[in-house]
Amino acid sequence: MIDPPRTPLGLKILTHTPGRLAVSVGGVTLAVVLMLSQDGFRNALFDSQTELIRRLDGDLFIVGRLKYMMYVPEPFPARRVHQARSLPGVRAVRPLYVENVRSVWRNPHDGHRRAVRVLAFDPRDPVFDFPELAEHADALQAPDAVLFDRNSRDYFGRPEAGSRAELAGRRVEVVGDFALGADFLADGTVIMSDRNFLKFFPDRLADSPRLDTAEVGVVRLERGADLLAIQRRLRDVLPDDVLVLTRQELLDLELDYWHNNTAIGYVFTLGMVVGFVIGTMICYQVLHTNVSHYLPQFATLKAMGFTRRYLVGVVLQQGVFLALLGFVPAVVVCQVLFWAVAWATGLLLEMTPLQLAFVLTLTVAMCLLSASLAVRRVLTADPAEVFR
Amino acid sequence: MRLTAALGTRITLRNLAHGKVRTAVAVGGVCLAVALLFVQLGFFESVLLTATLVYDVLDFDLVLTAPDYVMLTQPNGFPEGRLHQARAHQDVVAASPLYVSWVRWRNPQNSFRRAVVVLGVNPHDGVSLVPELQGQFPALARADAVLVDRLSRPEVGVGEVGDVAEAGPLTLTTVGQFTLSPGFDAGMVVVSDQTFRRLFGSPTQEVSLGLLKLRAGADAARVARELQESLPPDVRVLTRPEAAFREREYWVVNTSTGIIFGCGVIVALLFGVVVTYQVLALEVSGRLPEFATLKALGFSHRYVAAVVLQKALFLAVAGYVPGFGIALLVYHLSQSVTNLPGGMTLERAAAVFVLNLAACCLSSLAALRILRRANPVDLFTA
Repeated sequence: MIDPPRTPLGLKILTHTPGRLAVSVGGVTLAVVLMLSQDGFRNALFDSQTELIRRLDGDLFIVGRLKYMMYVPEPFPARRVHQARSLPGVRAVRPLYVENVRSVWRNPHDGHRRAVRVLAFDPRDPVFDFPELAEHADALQAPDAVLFDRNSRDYFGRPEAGSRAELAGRRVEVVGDFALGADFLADGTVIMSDRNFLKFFPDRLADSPRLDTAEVGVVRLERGADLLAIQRRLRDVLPDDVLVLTRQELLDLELDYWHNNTAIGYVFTLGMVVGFVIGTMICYQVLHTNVSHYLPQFATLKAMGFTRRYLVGVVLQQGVFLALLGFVPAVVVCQVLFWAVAWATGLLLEMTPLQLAFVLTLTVAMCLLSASLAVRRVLTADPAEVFR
Repeated sequence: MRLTAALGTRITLRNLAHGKVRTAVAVGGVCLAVALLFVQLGFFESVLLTATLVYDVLDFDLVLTAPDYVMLTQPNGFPEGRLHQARAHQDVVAASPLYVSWVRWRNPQNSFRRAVVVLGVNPHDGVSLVPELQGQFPALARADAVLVDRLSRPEVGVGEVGDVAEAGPLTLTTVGQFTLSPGFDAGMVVVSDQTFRRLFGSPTQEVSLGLLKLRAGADAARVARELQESLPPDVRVLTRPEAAFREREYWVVNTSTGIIFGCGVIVALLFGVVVTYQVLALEVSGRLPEFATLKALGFSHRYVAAVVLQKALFLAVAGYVPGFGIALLVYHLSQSVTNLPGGMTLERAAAVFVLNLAACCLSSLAALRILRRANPVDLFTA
């Protein structure tokens, strides 16, 4: 028997004709770009819509009974916050106030008005984990002071620290910024103190200005407290006009809405499925064409006495190399595309290791599958037939 | 000449039939490219249709908007007085206000609350082009009456005539329904201007849009110019096409939805071109020795090119038909789930067909360039 050569024959075959290799790699790259981009677009929707929830600094969250997503307000009586505070194991409950209808921002450069999302809380005990909040805690206490999300869409005029603008018909001064990002509903976000919020957006039904309703009650527990036990206690203690949710439950609520109750969630999911189906089919096509082209060479090897196992090994090797070679440029192309879209929209668009691993696995699996389908022709081929 | 042409066709068909698997793979590739382009174009078109959904059913020749009008559901408003001023123009026969906002809505029969788009109209003005809506305006004049879009998402709870729903601070009674489509929003309802004011508290003297009807035969562009000059700069006058164009432009360029769907179309186009080139180039290069033989036998390059083009034509059509079928299936599925406007249009079917045909033919000819330069001897040894 001939000694099996140590050289990676699969790779040698591929690099023998650089032109053909380029075409095959291009095909795999394109399939991967399609899969990654459709998956990325879909995740941009879900990640961007849930980012606010992930930045909440708490263990349990009190929301109105009919709350179904973060953007649309569903205020509940602020008394519930005080009631929750009295429970043992609860260290603090801090109300978050939200306004996004009356909060019209006037861009000082062109005078154009845009609705902005306003988040308000006591700056001395912030309900979010933005690192800039500690630094600006004092400045936020000043009358008419706001922080502006630097990842907001640019038609707000990209306000910086020190710039002045108009919010809900009143003057505001931007004292700093933070980074959250836009989503499919909110184009921009402003943070202000609860005192300022009361002044800017008084309850229309109340005679004197007061904060009777809150949007989220952010509960922080004592160290070592039993999360689920306290959640149960809170549910018992509080009237049923509110829900008490863990962070995961709040995230699930939001995701369920976007997944199941919106046209856009459906369309993005469909886009992703179409992307994956077509991507895998293209991988198959490329590999199949590539392997069957080298049929005469394989037949020669076979005629020389190489084992079936050896031949299968070479073809599978070829499949893996093509998958890997096609994957790398695809990641680069997608990253550029994502940067461009993130820059234009302020959405969260990123490739997580998990996503990459999933698409890579799928690509390799498809390439292996198509290689093994193609190899059948190699094994059944009669050398004389092939050379005809 | 006719003989050689007939021979060419036979060569093409024999060619295709000879490598059945190869042909099937090539047709599959073209089919996928076509299907993907159709699906992405369909999504994109639903964005464009959603943009002008409401404008399309309103009866107007010119529209007044705020200078910083963003989009229909973020209109920003302008002083109501401008509407009366516009009415004074000799060519304007009617000027009606339209109010647009959002309201938190709940049909007590289910446990959902949803933010829906609410349009406020003067029930005595004929602002609607849809007879179904127009006919129900008299009922809308009653206090706290509302018309509900049947295609609103199920969570909105469309219900039946006579149902009551909580909307903001009011309880509204459904007096009728209409068929439009809420687009990417949860639902749409129509109320009278009086009810609209009560929903949103303060009796502001601002309107969202001003719909102007002109005297028959009046030049809309000219009247728009004259009005723009005579009115203060706190209002903008647009013709119907201008308003529709701006709305679409905003959706495509500025909304996250539009930008991402636009990217989807670009990815699909790119994908289509590359896949088609790859499939067709392989198809041609696999037959180069045979084509070289034809040339060596004395057939002209033009003749060989014709054979290749015929093959491209066949693959283009054979790939297009199943691709079209897949697209119809996806459209149907999407529409039944989302109620988004859209569906196959003749224009899109034709555009994709032409693009596909062009991509197939150009790819084959590009692949054939090798043959022009090639020495037959080299081709046989390769």
